[in-house]
Amino acid sequence: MVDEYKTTLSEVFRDVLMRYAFMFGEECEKEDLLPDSLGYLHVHVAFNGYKQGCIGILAPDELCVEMAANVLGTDMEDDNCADDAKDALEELANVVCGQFLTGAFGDEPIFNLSPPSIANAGELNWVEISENDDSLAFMVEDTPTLVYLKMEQEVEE
Amino acid sequence: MSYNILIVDDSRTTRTVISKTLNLAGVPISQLLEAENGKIALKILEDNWIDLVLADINMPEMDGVEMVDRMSRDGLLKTIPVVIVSTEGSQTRIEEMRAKGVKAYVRKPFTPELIKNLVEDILGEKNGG
Repeated sequence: MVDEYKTTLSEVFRDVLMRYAFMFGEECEKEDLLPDSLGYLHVHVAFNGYKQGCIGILAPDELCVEMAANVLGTDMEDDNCADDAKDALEELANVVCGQFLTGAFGDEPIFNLSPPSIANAGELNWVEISENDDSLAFMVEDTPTLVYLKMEQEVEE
Repeated sequence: MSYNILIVDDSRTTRTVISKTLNLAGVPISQLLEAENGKIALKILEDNWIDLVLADINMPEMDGVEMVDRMSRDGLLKTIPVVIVSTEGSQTRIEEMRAKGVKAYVRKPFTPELIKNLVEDILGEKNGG
């Protein structure tokens, strides 16, 4: 990932996290973070149009539950908390993607965003994503979280 | 006077947040209806009198762009004010949607105050206020 995109993605992620979920995130070195959760959620949003690619987030289950509770103003013990957690993370990824695209490319180009795709993930996914140069690491409310951007290569005409 | 409002968004979280915002803001509401995409929204619009639509753009099955396009081609539906609430930031697309009759645009993440003020302005205007 080029440095300019990294800077924009980091700023956008922290800003959206604060305004959407009332949570604070701090970028840190990937090497300093160790996966310490039993389960994770992995969401990604693909985009096409002026540029093509996708943005993804890998976050521990417990962080997503807390995020949903913050956004909805509900209790983390609610019966629907697992579904709410997935939905809250999907919406976070959707908003981060939209804000990143205008932050990186301005407000003239048109992009089409796919609906977020979410799945349960584990420690292997964490290792795979964290080893990739496209990913950034954050401590979100003392919880390790990964965010990545994959840009499709442009075909020279 | 109270209003029928339709919230169209594939995110249940966002629908809930908007719904709570409207209720807390004291907007007089008869019915608060929800749809998870444009296709379901059009069906609801066929069967119910709606005073205001708050809609996302990026949704599965039928997105907000197509929904607004279809509403703009219907003699009755094109009179219903639509507010877009989306992460979409392209001015080009926003201008296109305004040209099709979209009343206002709110970018996610939004503050409850912004939604409240906008809804009150539009419904006040509609009511001759």
